[in-house]
Amino acid sequence: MNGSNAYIKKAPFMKRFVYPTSIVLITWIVSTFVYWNSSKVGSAGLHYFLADASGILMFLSIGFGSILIYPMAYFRGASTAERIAASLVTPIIWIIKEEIRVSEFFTLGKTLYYALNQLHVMVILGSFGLMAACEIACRMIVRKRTGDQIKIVTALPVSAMVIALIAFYCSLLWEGGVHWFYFFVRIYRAIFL
Amino acid sequence: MPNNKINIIEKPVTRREAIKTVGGALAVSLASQAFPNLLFAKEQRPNIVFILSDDHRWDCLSCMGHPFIKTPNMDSLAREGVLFENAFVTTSLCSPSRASFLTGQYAHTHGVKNNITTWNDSNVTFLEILKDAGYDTAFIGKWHMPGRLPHLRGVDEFITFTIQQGQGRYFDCPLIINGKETPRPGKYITEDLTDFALEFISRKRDNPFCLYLSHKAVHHQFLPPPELRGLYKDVKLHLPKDADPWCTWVDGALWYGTISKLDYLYRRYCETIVALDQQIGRLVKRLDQLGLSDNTVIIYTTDNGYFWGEHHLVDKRWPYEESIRIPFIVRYPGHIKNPGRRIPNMVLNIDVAPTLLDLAEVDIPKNMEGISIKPILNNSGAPWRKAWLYEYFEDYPYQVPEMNGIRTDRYKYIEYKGKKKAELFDLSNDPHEYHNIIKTPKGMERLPELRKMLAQLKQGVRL
Repeated sequence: MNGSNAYIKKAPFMKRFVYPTSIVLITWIVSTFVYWNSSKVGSAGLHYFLADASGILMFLSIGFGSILIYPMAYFRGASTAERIAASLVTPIIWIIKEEIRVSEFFTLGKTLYYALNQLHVMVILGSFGLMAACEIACRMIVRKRTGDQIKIVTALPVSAMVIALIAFYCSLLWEGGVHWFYFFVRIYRAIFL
Repeated sequence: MPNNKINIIEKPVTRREAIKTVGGALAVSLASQAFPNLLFAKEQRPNIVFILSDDHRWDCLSCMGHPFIKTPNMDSLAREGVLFENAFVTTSLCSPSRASFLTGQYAHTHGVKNNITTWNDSNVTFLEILKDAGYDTAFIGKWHMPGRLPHLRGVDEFITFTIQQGQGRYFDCPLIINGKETPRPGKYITEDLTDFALEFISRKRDNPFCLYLSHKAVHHQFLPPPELRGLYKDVKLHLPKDADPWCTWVDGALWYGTISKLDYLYRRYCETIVALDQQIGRLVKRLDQLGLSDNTVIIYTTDNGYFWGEHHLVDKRWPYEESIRIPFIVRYPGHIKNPGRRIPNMVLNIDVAPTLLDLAEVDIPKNMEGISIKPILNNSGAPWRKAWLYEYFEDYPYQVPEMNGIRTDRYKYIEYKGKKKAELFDLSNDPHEYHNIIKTPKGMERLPELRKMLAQLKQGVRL
């Protein structure tokens, strides 16, 4: 057993997977509930405050939950597959919820195609990018604490971060993401019209 | 009397009077050759300046009582002309609405049903008809209909843009000038398009002209020129009670390009309107300087409204008032009695084409579904429509169901395709459309007649 394995004890599944996932998932569920019901409070000021606060939490839990989940799972001995799965639970549930919502407007084929839109792709690729950054950060911590000469920067996390950055640029920064959007619509036309 | 009296057509006049009369007639005759436009302006067909903006909601003008925005030039148009308080689009979406302005037809007729279905080159625009009637014509600005740029018959000057699927850019937007792509570095688009418009109206010509000036402003990304940026950064906003900072992000709203908080975007939107207003001012001023104002009809309007948080929505498309209402101002000095009036009649985007043809004294084609507003310009009590059809077609990936609806002076009834339930609003008691009365006794009482009227409208009956 090497130093890092000795340093990181494998916790039970509940602790290494369910707890970290639940924190973010429950945050998303609660903030979503508060957001959509904030207008029911009598005061306009309170409505605005609640909507703003819950909106931020909602956004963070979907897009940035992996920053919390991944290191928690890492230091509780979760395998790489478990860490990735745990980090993707909330974004995937959000995407499923979106798919159900848009099924009110579109046929099944168009609803399924909607899952490939740039926001969904960005959330997933962004989560991988954040996981990669967390992986590197966790390795640095382990190396510092154990003195193990583990390799910190490896090809896989770096590739994930680069892909996430490219996706971020194309989906949001490059003229507000319109080019990706137009490409998405062009493919839609080719398939459905 | 002395013998210097001479008889001109049996009326005795003095020699001096006779010389004055003959001299005056000669002067008039000579002047009519040299300056026909000045002498017989009222008998001439009018010049036409049609200004179309994008997403400018009906109440974002100072003359509509907006709490802080200042639009002195639009206000001036309204003061010197008439403002229609109940103007609407039949489809609240860029491309269908633009095609309706040009053709005088509903989207189901001209075929541009959404931002995906293409413009059919066999469609006839009012520009084509005016050209045939002897007008000089120019289309300057946003075309933005799906498919390739059209072969726009009857247009002498066609200046547009195709970048970003026809949406254009606020800065450095390359233009297609009569078919030739031309970079425009350093240009702000609203000003750039206005420069072309000024050049067009300033040309010496024998024919009347029709200018179709179609701005990108004030569509997102809501970018004012640098000198106006931050103009409203500190003003107190009056956003609706159902708005919140994140309604630009949720439920697919990000597809509308609103990647910022609502209040920030709204301030920029208002600043962009001010920039538009300034450019309209330049155009009107030039018409005045050229002495063309009296015989030039100006119409200012937009392609649809815009939600700023009402019903927790941004963008347009939905059939609620913020989305379907548009500003609509007509200025025609010398031809509009009692300028500064507000006209309550319901006018539509499909009315523009027949109106312009009517004012130009050109026959209105029978396939135009709109009505000329000429009769109500000076008499709002003239017979007028009681109801009209609203329609919206799927526009993937935007999450708004297809719908058909009817709006009368008092009621609005909408039927949606799919799972969303039909809605009926009593606009006189519920102008913000918060209470669907379809299941109430009053709603059930009104429903059969509204359904019948909607069916008639869908069949093309004018009500």
